[in-house]
Amino acid sequence: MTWRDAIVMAGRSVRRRAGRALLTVLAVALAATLLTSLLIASGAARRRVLDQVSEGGPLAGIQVAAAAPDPGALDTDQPSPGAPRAIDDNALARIERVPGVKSVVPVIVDPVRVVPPTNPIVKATTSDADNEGARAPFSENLVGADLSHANDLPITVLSGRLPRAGSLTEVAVTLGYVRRFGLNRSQAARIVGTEIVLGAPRLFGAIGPQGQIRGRWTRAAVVGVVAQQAANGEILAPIEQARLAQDWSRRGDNPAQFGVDPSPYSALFVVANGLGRVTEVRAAINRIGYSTSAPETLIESVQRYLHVVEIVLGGIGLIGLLIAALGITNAMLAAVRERRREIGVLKAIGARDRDVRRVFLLEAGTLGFAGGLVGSVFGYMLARALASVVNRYLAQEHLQGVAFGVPVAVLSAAVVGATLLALIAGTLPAQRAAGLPARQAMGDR
Amino acid sequence: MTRRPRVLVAALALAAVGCAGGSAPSRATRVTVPVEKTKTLVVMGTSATVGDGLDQQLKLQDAWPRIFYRNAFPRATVLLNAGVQDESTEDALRDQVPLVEEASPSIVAIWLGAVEASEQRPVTQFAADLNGVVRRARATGARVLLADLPPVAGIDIGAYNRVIARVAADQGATLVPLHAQTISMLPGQASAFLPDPAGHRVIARAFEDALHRRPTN
Repeated sequence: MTWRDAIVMAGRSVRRRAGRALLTVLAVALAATLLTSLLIASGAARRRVLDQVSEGGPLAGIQVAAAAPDPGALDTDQPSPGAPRAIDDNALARIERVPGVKSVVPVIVDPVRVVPPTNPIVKATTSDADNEGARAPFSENLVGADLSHANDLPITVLSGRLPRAGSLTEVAVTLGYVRRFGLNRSQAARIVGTEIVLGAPRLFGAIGPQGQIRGRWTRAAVVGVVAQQAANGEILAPIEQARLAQDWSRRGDNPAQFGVDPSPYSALFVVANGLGRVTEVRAAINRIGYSTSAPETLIESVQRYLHVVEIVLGGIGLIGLLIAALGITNAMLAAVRERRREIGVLKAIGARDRDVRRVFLLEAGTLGFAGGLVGSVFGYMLARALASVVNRYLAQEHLQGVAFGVPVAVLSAAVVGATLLALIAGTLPAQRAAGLPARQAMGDR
Repeated sequence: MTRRPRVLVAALALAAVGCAGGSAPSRATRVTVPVEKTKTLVVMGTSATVGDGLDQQLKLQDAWPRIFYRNAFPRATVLLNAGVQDESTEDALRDQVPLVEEASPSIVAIWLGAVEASEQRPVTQFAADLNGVVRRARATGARVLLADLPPVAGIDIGAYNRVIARVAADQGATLVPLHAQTISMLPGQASAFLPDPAGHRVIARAFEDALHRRPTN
């Protein structure tokens, strides 16, 4: 018997007992729906929780401060930094060479004077007095980061987008800036598209009795609202902007008066090659002479708990699939009993045991594949529906929603898994059918 | 016999791909991104240029250099205000011109002479100082916009404005004719040349008009 004959026979058998086949497929589909939706939902929840714990940055992120390490606090996630120690290009290059380092993103923090937009943003929501207050210039930190590596930084875009790397005319702002205008998180988009003026201060000590402070003023469009933990500051800009501002301020007399960092880089954000290497990389950076902090212990604990939840949810789904598999075995055993004569005829005309086994396994595999396919599609749709309900709730609470993609791996695994399970479930009936002697099969009628 | 070596080769290839993907890069790499080009505008002047007399909260928005910067230049422009309160042109040569030379600006906007006119200092000295300021600003390769003095009650500005016009012509600067404008000044101030917010807007507009005129050379 050829493979083609076996497929035709299996197909004919499925069609002949359409009701039973449909019920079997439905059982597998329901189990696959349960499994895929649970796995997709738990995967999305896992990403959201870890994103929250790592503050939007990579899980293997390490913050390096422009300070010496405190020897008494090396084994903690957030050690107190020691004495100030400048991070220059030489230190940056040494840290880049540490084994296990995937990327190093430098950060520069500059004190700036911020002049808010001239056209009032908040006129409709607050009184004129509040509006005048919102127009008043204020001092804030400009956080410059290498935005060509934005994915390696603890930055989450809440509205709009990040400034282009290398841009001197685009910035993003944090919710702290948004709140200065009496706006809340849900109104953050109103800030996007406005313009702010930033002034880096410089003291000219030789001018006048107390010296003259002059600003280097630049204009920038606010292109996004972000939550960022790269450094303390409400304005996020490409590092090139911050470097120019820093150069200006440091060329003046007594830059420390404005809080200008004496270190060329205020901090570094290092990403290790995996969470498992964070400890090793932190130790190496400490040996180079810099204080590091990373939420590695917290992330590992959270991951352990999440893993337990995933095992429990996966187990529930697997129990469903096992029940469906027992259903397949039961249906196939019934089919063997009903088709004894057919099996006998097949054997009488020369079919071998393995041909009969192949027909029954193909039938079981078809049922499993069809059930897995339908179940994974329904599971995905169910998870999406759940995610939209959850996101609606999170939006009401002004929280960031759950990112939801198409988990191709989970969907494919559900189809393949259901097919394999059905094949295993069909093995016993197929074996029983194959083992029937031709004469006994015919004689039973 | 032929199938087994094929399987072996495939397994080895898979292992090689796996190893290549799993090995960590020995060194983190950073890319160099092109940085946006900017122009620089330097403003020189005295008390009015630093916004004296305006509300402390709003002088960073309503002083004429700010309005000029905001309205006449693209976003990719840096503003340096070199102005110093109560500075004469002689002081500006010492305190303000070095900043112009350091900044290598595209445009230099100058409004000086208020102190000299208020105190009726000798015109010849003013001419020499202003000539020095504009010559050194022009030497940076920048286009220079040079404003004269607006009419102020009780102060004779004629002689000073003639000097300003001559220096502008001699040095190839663009004259900003404030003498032809009605600029409202703040009453009761130490300097007679301190405009109110409306006056600042008129001055900024005059500079903007001059910027849009074709330079003489």
